[in-house]
Order: sequence, then C-alpha cells, then structure tokens
Amino acid sequence: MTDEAIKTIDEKIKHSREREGKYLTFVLAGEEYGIGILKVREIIGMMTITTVPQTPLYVKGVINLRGKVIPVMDLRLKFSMAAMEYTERTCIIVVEITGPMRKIPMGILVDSVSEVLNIKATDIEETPNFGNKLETEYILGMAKTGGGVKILLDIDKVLNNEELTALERAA
Amino acid sequence: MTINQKLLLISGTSAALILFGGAMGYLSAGEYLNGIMNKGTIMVMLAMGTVFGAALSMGTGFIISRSISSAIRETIDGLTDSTVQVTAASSQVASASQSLAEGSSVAASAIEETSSSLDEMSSMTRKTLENSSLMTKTGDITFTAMKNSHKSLRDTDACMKRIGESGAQAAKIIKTSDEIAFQINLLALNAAVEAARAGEAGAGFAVVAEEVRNLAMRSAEAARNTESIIGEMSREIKEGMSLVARTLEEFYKMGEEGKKTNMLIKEIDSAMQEQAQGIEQINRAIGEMDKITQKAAANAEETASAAEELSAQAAQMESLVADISTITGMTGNNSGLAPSYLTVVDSPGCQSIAGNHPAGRGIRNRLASLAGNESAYGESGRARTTIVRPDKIIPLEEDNAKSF
Repeated sequence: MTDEAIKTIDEKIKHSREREGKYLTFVLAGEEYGIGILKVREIIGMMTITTVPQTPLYVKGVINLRGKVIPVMDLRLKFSMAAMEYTERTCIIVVEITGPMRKIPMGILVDSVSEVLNIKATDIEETPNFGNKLETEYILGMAKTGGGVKILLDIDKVLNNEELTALERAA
Repeated sequence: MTINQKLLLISGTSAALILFGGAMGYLSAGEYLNGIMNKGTIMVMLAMGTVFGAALSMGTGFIISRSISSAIRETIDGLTDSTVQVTAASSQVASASQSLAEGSSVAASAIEETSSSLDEMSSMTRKTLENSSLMTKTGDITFTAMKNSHKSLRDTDACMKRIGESGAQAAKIIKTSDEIAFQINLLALNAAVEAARAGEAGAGFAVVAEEVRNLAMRSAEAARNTESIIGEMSREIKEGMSLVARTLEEFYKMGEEGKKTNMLIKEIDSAMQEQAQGIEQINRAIGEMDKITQKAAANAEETASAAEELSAQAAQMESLVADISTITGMTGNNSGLAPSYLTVVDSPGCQSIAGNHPAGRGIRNRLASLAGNESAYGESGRARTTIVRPDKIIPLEEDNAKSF
C-alpha cells in the first residue's frame, strides 16, 4: 500500500518534471496557449493554402514548404471558435504529431506567435476537472505566468486517432 | 396888390383919361363949332361921347382882366399838378434808391460771408482731395499686398500637399520596416526552436536568438510609434489644408471686395477733383457778383443824391407856383394855412394827400416828402405822424410876391 502510494507520487513528480521546459506561446482569440518547443519544427508566416476537397472544415488545405506538402489545420475552427480573417500577424506553426504509425508534420494556424518561454514545474498546475463529459486530455496543464494563465497543449492529443489515421493517409 | 386890382386901376385911369379928353374936346370943339350947331347940342353930344368912352374903357378893362386871370389860373393849376407829381416821383425815387442801396449793402455783406465760407470749403476740399489721393495710393498698395498674400497662401497649400505626400511615403516605408521586424521576430523564434532542439549545445544560441527577438520587437514598436505619429501628422496636414482652402476662399472674397473698394476710392477721387473745380468756378462767380453789387450800391447812392436834388428843385418850383398863385389872387384859401402847424400823415412810398386846393395840396406834399426824407427811411413799413412847420421850409412872406 505504502509502496504503491510512493510509486504514484514518484510518477506524478516524474510527469511534472517531464512537463517542465521551454514552450512556444501563441495567441488564439485573445488567450495565450503553449506548445512544447520540441514538438515545433518551425514557424512561418502566412502563405498560400491550397484547399483540399473532402476534408473536415478545420483542415484548411495544404501548403508547399520547401518542396514538402504539409496539411494545415485552423486551430480556431478545431476548438469551435469563431473564424477570423487572416492578418499579417497570422502564423503557421509547423509541428510534428506522433501518429499511430509515424510522425506527421502538420501546420497549425494561430492568430499570432508570442515567444519562447521557459516554464518551471512549480508553475504548472493540473487541469481542473470540468466534468467527465468534457475531453480535457489534450491539455497538459495550466502555466501560471505573471498575472495570467497559459494553457499548455498536448498537440498529439488534439487530434484523435481516427483523425490522425485519416491525416496519415492524406499526407 | 393883385393883377385884377392892377387891371381895374389901369381901366379906371383910361376912363379918367377919356373923360379928360372929352372935356378937352368939348372946350376946343365948342369954339370951333359954335357957328355950325347950337351950343347945347354939342354939349350933350360931347358929354354922351365922353361918358360912353369912359364906360367902354372900364368894361373892356374888366373883361381883359378877367380873361387874363382865368388863363393864368389854369396854368397855375396845371403847374401845381405836375409839381405834385414831380415831388411824389422824386420822393419815390429817393426811397427806392435808398432801399436799393441798403439792399446792395446787405447783399454785399452776404456775398462777403459766402465768399469766406467758400474759401473755407475750398481749403477743406483741397485737404480732402489730398487725403483721397493718398487713400487711392494706399488702396493700391493694400491690393498688391493682398495679391502677394494670396500667392503665398496658394504656395502654402501646395507645400502642405507635398508634405502630405511625403508623409504617405514615409508611412509606406514604416510599414515595410514593421514587416521586416515581424520577419526577424519569426526568424528569432525559429532560431530559439532550433537551439532548444540542440539541447545543451544550443543554450548560447538560444540567448542570441532571444536578443535578436528583443531587437525585432523594439524595431516593431518604433515602427508602430512612427506610424502613429505619421498618422497624426497626416490628419493635421489634412486639417491644415482645409483651413488653407477656407482662407483662400475668404481671401478671394476679400480680393473682390478690395477691388470694389479701390474702384469706389478712385471714383471719389475724381468726384473730389470735379468738386474742387466747381468750387473754383463758384468763387470766381462770387467775385464778379461782389463787383457788380459794389457798383449797384454806388449807383444807388448816386441815384439817391440825384433824387434829393430833384426833390429840392421840385420844392423850389412849388414855391414859385405859390408865388404866382398869390399874385393872381388865389391866396385867399391858403393864407390861413401859412402860420398854422400842419399835420401830415406819412407812410414811405405812398403819401396820403389832404386838402382841396391845388397849391395847398402841393405844399402839403412837399412837406410830406421832406418829412419823409428826414425820418421815414429808418423805419420802413410803419405809418407815422410828423409835425412840420411849413413857414420854416417855404418863404411865404408878402415881400417876395411884391417883387414879382
């Protein structure tokens, strides 16, 4: 019993240690979000997106990044937020999502990119329980910085397995 | 002794002479005719002839005396009438010339006043003329200055437009620099990502990336500030341009009004010149009028003295006529007047004549005219009563008549 308890505490500390590190923060509908920096491949400005038919609404299409075709997802639409006209500040963050079979490169459309932040484990809190029905799996935790809170995303879990499979097929 | 008396004396004398002749005839013829006729008859015839002759001469003398005296009386009547008229006319002439002289002197003084007023007016007009010509010059200068100001304003407008264009260009450049800052920011972020991937080895690189990113942020902020400043400037330039446009409009109106004012000033100037000329002419005319009035006054003076002379002559004539009437035996009615005082009603220009007898009437008129000359001219229009002693003016002594 005690051993088990010690084991869970150790796991939690380990988990917490894992979450500690550098995050790329960005703005989406006035809120700050963070993605683990090792998931980020690169940040690019807005570029021409080629629409692909028969794809979900949040998939805007594909871009040609130095000869590689990469799917682009609008995070606003994915999070069921109001769509917005793209501006000069709109950026595409290219991330690597770990799929069931391989790593998939994917572009994420955000309102604007902020900065690279080093967040300590003590500043990260568990996601509060909003109720069983709400899926909060894709949120790594809440980072307290300054007076505000930044939502740290687990980008691998933003898309579910089916969607990932579909993307793998598409890519 | 009147003429009638004298004539009666003459006829009586002739009758006596005839009687004397008859007696003498009787004496001489009596001796001569004694032998022819009977002495008694001769006596009777002579007596009858003498008496008849005497009666005839008396009658003839009486008739002659009557006829002569009546002719003289008629003449005297006529003379008296004309003397009266001459007296009246001379007094009228005297009064008229006197009033003419007075009027002329009044006119002369009025003309003098008018002349001095005109002189003042003339000097004032000259001054005004000077001022108006000065005003014309000033108006021209103002107009030129206004034109220059208008040109300057238009230049200002063009300059403002150019500044606005420059501002727009600057805004474009700022936008470019902002974009560049954004790109640098992205690059810095990418560098940070790469540094993180490199792990421990990329730690230093991460710091550089952070610094670059800071610079990019500062550059972006500077660009934003400049942009806002340029925006402000552009707004102010627009406001300035609208102000200049409004000023230009006002200036245009002012220019139009200035043109009108200038024209009016020029018109006033020319009118002033004409007025000055007119005043000059009036001055000349007044001078001539002055001369004429002076002459008229002198003439009136002369006429007055001539009328005086005429009056005196008329008086003399009247006294002569009175003498004649005394001689012809018409003094009966007048004799009572001579010593008494006469009351004469006198009003200038029209004398009321009292008395029935021509001679008396004439004397009264004479008195009236003299009294009028003495005192009536001072107060015209008012009837007045003057008491005159006629015996002081006309000699009515019997001695004068005797010498006739």
